[in-house]
Amino acid sequence: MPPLPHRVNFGLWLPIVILAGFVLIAPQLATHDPLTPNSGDEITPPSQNYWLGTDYLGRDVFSRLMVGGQRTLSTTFVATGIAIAGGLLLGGLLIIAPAPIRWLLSILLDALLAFPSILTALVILTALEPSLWTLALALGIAGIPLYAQVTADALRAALSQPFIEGTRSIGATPRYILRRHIIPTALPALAAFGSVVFSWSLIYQAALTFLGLGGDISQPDWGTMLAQGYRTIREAPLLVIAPGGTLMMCVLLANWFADTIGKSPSR
Amino acid sequence: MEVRRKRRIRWGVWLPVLAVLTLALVACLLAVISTLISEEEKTTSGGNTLIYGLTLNPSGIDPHYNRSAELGIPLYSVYDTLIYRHPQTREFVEGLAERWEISPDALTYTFYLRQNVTFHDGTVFDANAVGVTFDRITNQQYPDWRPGKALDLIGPFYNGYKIVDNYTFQVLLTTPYTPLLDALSQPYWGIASPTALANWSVDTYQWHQVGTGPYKLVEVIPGDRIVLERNKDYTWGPIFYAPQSDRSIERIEFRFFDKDPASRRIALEAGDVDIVGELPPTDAEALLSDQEIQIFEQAIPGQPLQFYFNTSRPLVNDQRFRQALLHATNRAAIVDTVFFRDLSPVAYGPLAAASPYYNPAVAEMYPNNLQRTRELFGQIGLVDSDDDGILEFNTQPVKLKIAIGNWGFLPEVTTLIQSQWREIGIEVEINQVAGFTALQEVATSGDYDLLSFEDFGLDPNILNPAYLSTSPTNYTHYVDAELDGWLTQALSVDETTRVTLYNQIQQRIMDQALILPIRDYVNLIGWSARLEGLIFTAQGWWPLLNNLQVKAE
Repeated sequence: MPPLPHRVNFGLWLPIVILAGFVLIAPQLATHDPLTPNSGDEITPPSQNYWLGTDYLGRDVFSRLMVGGQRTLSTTFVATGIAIAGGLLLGGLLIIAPAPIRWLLSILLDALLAFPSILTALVILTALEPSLWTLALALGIAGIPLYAQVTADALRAALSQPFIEGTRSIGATPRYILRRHIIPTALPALAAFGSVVFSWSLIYQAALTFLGLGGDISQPDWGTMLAQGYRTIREAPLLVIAPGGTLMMCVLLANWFADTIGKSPSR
Repeated sequence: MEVRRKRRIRWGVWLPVLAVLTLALVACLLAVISTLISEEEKTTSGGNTLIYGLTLNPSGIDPHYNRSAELGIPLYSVYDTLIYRHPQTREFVEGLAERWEISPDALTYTFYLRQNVTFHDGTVFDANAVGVTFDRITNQQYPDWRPGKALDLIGPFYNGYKIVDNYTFQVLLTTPYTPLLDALSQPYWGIASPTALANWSVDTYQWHQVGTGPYKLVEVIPGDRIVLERNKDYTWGPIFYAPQSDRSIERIEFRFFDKDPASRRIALEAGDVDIVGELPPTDAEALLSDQEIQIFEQAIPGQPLQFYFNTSRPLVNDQRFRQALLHATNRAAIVDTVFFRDLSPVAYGPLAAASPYYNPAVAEMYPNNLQRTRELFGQIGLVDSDDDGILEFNTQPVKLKIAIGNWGFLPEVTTLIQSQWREIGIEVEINQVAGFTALQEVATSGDYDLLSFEDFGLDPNILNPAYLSTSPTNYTHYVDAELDGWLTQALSVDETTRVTLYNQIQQRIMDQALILPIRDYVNLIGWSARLEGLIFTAQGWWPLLNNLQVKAE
């Protein structure tokens, strides 16, 4: 039976620190205005002035990568938050709600799970005016069903542990059991899946902005940068490699977190 | 005694799994088989066959009912029209009509039809066949009739037809309509075999079209390919059709390269396609040095790449504000950056310079002049009182909404406009929508300050739907009785008066600054160096497939 964490394991939390830190400081690192086309400097290779070169319209790729990263990652964080909050709520209800409601909820969840989540996100985006925040909302809502299912499974598994029965028989209050036993048992799985939801949201965020569904297309965003760079992939492959590579690193960081936290019950 | 329990197979669990696996297996097998079959069928280009890439997948390819310009690329060569326009001189020349007469009151057009012409299915061409095509396009009593581009083209004054004898056909009008001949020269008015029209329904005819043209339609697989084969009996072509030889193209397969403009160059280089249009300018530029590929630049007459100002919105309704924005836009820089100026001219007015009736006076009207912009802003009372770099109008910061489609480099062009206008203190929000229908929805909703839309055509009457105050597609919402009068009058007068009227019309549109023109359309076509003789019709979009040849060894 794992105890609650009393000290912070830095190796474990490093990926989250890197990603959150990036969101906070990246825009300060920008060397140019990411929106201003530098006339005459279109598609230039990396140089002292433009660290990663310029794009089709002469905008500095490094600055766009930094400012775009803030946009991309903060939407992803918000989307993940929505998915986890909604998922915990629904997943909890699946366990503790009265039987008829549980039955209805599980049918609803099964139906939602049978529907590809990217389609759910697309449908929501089509109904709303496209902007970065509706995108976060759409991704978040699309992630809820799966997270709810995982929450319900994790809670069910925790509840079926024999020591729960034992604790109850010696007179522990439900609140104590929840705090001391159920949450610590279910937490690693929930945290690990949370970061899976994060990397999933990040990839779909980029996919949807690649399609131009992230609101103002002149604002930098990794998906938008991929879409714009891809036209000149032969002349300037860096325009695709830079946002694509950064995106990949972020997904790897999130997966690293998922792996570590999922494996070590002692955190 | 120990009872050995038999392990029960839990069918309830395994049956669905088994079913799914079986289905997947069958699907895989089918996929493999169908790939093998299609590999066999796949045409390789070379010899006298070629693959032509289309850059748009039209929702339908019935020329009488559908609207897409793309359908004319294959179908221009399947049909003949009563008359043609010469690709170089743009004059009207004989087609299925060997001559024609216009009555002195300009209300009756008499066409004397060619004899000894047969449709691809053997049906004899005569005045009755022309009548059936006219009925199909204009007669609401025709079974399952629907309005199409062809109906729009023949105009509001069409008053039926008369079959005088087997080879004499008259078109009747209530009021003179000068664009009539231009309308009848377009592939939307291709004369179809009455036998084929009777054999197929309105919905299915598009896959079994029969005309009298130099190529027969032999196969249509929607979304996949359209196949034409040479009509060996063809001898009645217009004057600009080259005589057929053993180097003419026997078989042309049209395939779609609509999803991804960047794939066109790759397909050309790989030899997967022999001709494909609408190359991105960077790719066309790169291909100029390729020995295997030629680049053809075709100017498209009609409207340029442009933005309509929505004059029903506050501030945008002020003529001085629109003029100031025109002065603030460095069009040459935009065209240089996005299109390379050698491959595309800057646009100045509502008609492209390649259009007949173009008024060159508009080119001088709005030079890039920020000084003038600031003067005009001052007159309107735009000031930056809070010093944030954004101008305010009635204490509200100015923010304009530009609605665009996601095609044709509009995102890049609009991004540059946004950045140029930010310099003068105007903020721009870009609303990019995916697809033509979505843009039309925005256009109808009216929720935009600027909107990008354009139409192509040789006759300047394409301006009528865009600027007549009563037109549902007047996206400027500008109302001007005098302009309405000129536009209407220009439909019914002779050429000289038309020139005067269209000069005034273009002048008025630009005086009022109803549009922000950016770039005249130039279609960049990449084509295999083993071919020769590529030319396009006067309207610009449609190739004369008949004149294409394989180069002599």
